[in-house]
Amino acid sequence: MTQRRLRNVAVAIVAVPMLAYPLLAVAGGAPRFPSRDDCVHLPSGEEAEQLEVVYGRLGDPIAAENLLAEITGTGFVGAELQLDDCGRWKVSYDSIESREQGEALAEQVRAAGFAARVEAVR
Amino acid sequence: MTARALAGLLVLNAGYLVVGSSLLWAVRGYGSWREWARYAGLAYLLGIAGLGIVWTLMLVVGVPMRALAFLAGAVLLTVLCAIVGRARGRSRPGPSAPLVLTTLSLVSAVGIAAVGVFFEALFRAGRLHGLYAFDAWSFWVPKAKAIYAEGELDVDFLVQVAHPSYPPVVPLLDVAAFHAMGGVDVVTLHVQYWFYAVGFVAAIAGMLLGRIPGWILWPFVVLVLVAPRMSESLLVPQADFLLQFLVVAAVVAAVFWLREEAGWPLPVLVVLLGAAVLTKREGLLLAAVVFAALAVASADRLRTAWPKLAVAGLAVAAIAMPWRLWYRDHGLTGESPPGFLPPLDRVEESLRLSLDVLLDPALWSLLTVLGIAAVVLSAIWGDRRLALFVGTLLVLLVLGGAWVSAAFTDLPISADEAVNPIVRYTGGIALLAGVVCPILLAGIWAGSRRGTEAVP
Repeated sequence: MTQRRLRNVAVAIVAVPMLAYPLLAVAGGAPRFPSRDDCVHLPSGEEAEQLEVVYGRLGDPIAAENLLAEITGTGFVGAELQLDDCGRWKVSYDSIESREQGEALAEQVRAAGFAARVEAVR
Repeated sequence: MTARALAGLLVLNAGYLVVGSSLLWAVRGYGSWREWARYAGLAYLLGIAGLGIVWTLMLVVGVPMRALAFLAGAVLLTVLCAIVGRARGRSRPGPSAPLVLTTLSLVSAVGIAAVGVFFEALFRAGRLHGLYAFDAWSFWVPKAKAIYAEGELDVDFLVQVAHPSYPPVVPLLDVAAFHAMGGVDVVTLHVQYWFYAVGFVAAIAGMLLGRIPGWILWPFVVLVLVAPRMSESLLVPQADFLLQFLVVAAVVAAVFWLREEAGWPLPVLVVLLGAAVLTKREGLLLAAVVFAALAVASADRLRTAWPKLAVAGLAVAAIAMPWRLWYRDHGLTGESPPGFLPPLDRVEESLRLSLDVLLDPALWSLLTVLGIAAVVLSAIWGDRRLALFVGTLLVLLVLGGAWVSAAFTDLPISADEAVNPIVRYTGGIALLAGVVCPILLAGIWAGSRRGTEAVP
């Protein structure tokens, strides 16, 4: 076999399976790339659902601590800082008994100049 | 998890390659760009190792480990290597000679394809892998989260997690990955461990290709990757595999040094073992075993080899020291057993456990058995110095594993991974056996063809 033919055969041996495998893998549909919003669950309305009011999700822990301090300093006590499953620090208040209570709190917090939204805990 | 996180990891690992390439250029230089490509895997591991050492020192001296500090450490090391390389007269890589293939080169092509498809499949498994491994979520990743959040290792936090005195290379590398990904993405973090595995295989293949025939090398590379314990645990975000990659790559460098190839393997070995002793406490034991085996195998060159080994050993000890001083200074303990000599009643049982785990085909398929057979065959027909080195290494490693089980009296003598680290420890021996097998067998093959003493 000539050098050129050998090289072509070698390239084919390496390239064909390495291209075929991912092509076969995506044949059933493009790969899913979850986003960080996948960790945000809006309430579904089910009765047994556990709810919380989320004041913000931040990538920087120091900024999240500052937000928690500001919210608490404004009078909205009881909020906590937690790392969510998507790698962001979540400032939230989870002692919510009902959706109505949560929406009322979120409205008060928004009126004080912060962001707030009722979310489901999963 | 996100495409942005994957892109960030790609950039980070390209950075490791750049830093490691400058380090390898400083200690050995590159004759051509093909040679650079061949040693790219080793350069990548050296980048990880070099930065692991530098970042650990920065953490210990109190530099706030934010994103900028990680970048500064990388730039500092690269510039330092560039200056040393210049001072040593290293030149830019020249043009490559034409690649000459033979029919047997097609075996290498099949091996590269098999390994490539394996890593493609592993990537799919790792991309959306949850953080399930106990040690990973209970202390390795929490330590990384703590450094990411605070920029330092807070002792009040450390005392609340297991093994507070474990060295910090893995958490620091995880933090670098978090910064690259743009957040604490413990799912995509598994892809970082995929990069380590790819880098290790590229390092071993690159170092050995051209020295041993591809038809001997590639079957063993595939055998290592598909060994049950390897394929199921390569992506676990813990220190075990990274430690083993560093030590096994150091052993291959040691083989080159034993063959008196050139001066470069010893500095490479120091950097790799230096990072190993900062990766896990077993790193100290493994580094000591490698140096002891090297001393035994070079006993006939006492005057020339031993002083160099002593300097290299002292360099590794010096790298290990700052972290140990830091944690002792902060009142942390736990890295040493209650006593150096284990209770006699535990010795026999521990040794039996070590051997049982070593020879368990359900964990390592045939790797360890083939490794032992290769040492015996090489001692008879191959390179005896190499056989002595590898044989001593394997014996000391098995004894070391038995010592760990026996000396840490709080460990039950059991192969249950939840209570005793012997399986994870022996993984390094199996990996080593899979890598040294082709070297030893190629020595026998070359010897049989030339009728003279073999070279690896």
